[in-house]
Amino acid sequence: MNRQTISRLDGERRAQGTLLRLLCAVSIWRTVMTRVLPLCGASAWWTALLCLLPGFAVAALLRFTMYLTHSATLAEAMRASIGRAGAFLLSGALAVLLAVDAVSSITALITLFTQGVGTRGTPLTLAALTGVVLLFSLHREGLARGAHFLRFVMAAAAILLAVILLGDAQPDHLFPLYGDGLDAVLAAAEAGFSLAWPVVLLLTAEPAQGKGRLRGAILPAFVSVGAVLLLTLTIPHELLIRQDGLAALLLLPTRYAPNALRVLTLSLLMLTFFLAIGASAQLATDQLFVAAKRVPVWLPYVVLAALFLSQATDASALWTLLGCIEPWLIAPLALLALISWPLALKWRKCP
Amino acid sequence: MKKLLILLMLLTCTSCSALPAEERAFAVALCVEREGTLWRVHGRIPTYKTGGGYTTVTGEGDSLSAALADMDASAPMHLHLSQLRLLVLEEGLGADMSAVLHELSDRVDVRPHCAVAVTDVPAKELMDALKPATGARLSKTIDVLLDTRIEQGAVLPATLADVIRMGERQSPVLIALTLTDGAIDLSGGYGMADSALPLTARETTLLSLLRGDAKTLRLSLSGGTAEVRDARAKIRLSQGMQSASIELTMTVTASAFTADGLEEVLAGELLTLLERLSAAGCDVLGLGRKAILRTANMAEWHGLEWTARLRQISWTVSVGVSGPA
Repeated sequence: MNRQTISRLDGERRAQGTLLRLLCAVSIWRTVMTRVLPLCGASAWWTALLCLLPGFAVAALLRFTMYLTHSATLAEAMRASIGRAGAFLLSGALAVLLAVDAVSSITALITLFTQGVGTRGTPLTLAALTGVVLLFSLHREGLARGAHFLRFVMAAAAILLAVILLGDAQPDHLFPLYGDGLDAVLAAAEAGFSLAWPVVLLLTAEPAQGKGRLRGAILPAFVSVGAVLLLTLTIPHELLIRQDGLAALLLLPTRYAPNALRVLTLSLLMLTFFLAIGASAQLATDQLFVAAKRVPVWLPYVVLAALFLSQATDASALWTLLGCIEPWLIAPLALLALISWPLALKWRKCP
Repeated sequence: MKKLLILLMLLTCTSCSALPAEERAFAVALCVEREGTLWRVHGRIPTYKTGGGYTTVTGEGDSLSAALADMDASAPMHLHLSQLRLLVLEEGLGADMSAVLHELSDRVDVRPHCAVAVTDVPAKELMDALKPATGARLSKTIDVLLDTRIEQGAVLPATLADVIRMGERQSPVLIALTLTDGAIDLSGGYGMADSALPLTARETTLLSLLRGDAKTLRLSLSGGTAEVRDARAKIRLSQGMQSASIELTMTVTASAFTADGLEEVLAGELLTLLERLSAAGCDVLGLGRKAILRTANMAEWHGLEWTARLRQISWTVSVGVSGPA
């Protein structure tokens, strides 16, 4: 490969890394905002920090397996430690997890459209519209390039929002530190137990030059928790726990903001959700056919159709169902990590 | 890049469809009153006729939401509250004011930065008096009037967002709205406690001084006036939460008093005001924000019975002035 090809490949890997980090940030933020925050209010930020630990622990264990097997990606490590079955299991698990994440994100986005912003149109028509727009960008590198291209714009908008929101911050809003007490914190920790599972996704990509992949996950994870911390600084606990309903929770960051800031935040929120849905759908497609050399052309359409059809059901019932599934998302990855590393240690190649 | 642009255009088009502005009537002011069990709301909306002008739409119902729905039905177009500048509550709502504010803030379309005022003037009369003083826009008139009165210390800033976000930690002071010679006037306030506690313009000026809401203030005190700037107040709550102290420092630019005289008079008036507010359970300076820092969870906070403690609290006020007296 000549230098130009290497540079192009490295650029594509970086773009893919940006998309994965964005997916990480959106997934973690969505779980904290919609599952953890309504249960524990002011203590959500530090409860979310605790909830990051299982995801990072599993990712660290899987990274250790990769180190033991001298593998560049997680799929290679699974193949080296467990065999082909391991690689299939990993792909299957990730495809299911990404599909659940995509359904969660599209449900959140459509609910934000219909019940939050008050857009005219049924959930199904809006889901169809989202699906059609996604079809334009579900090209193999299209989304990643889009996310990479927009990263500084999104970062600048987020910083601007943070600075403006800081003007309304009151230190006493972080108190009482334990919110409604230990029971509420435990319930919130249970709901958010798996929130950091997308960190593992960073290990599935080809490494780009520069910083380590797990170190790259720290920024999106902490940015998500930081955003929640900022929100708890601007709204007191007694109001945080009053919020019920998905739309109200998603609108919470903009609820008391000036109109211009509200528009900017909602635009940013929709854009990031949109990119995250696209990323989840694309990665789920890739994972489904990881063993095959070529992904069938029709598969992205099937995935999008499935996402579209998920919105045909009652949104609140679907959200409740997802709430029952989400605390267990880390389980298959944890299981694979626990099986793979002793095997990797056993088959370790001596230098 | 082309695909990205198409994507952004499509997203922009979908978001635009949410706000068909020409199909909505944007209320500039909203007044809520209750007569027995009957709720009544009045909205002031532009007529959209050539030459401008405003009209009042009214709705009634057995609940606030029913009254709002009725008002929406009686409006010529879909009524929208996203441009609301002034929310007026009838004085008779008393302890229900807080519930009304929460209910309105829960509505997505209500502008959270509208000013919240309390009035004893009949709502219909008040609404008809809401006219642009200069130019053609009522919203601008209200904005300018509010800014001016806040700068003068005649009223304290009280937006719906601010009031709601005080939660259980501070008592808001709502703006007092009256009619003077047929025109609206903002002067004084209502401290929100168990009931609305009326405050004079002189008292709101003193509170403005303590809260630092205005850069410069003209104080009317017993025995003369004083013009001050750069006021800073340090508020402390004792460990046992039985006493509170205020250290106020400021620069005097003009005064009818000597420095010592001003300190003495001001400290006396502040002490009288703070004791009156505390006795009514009205925590306008947010001592509750300091008290909640000492609790681990909400059960402990509620166990404190803060309002009851506040009624018993003893105040110490010290004033330090600098500059020409």
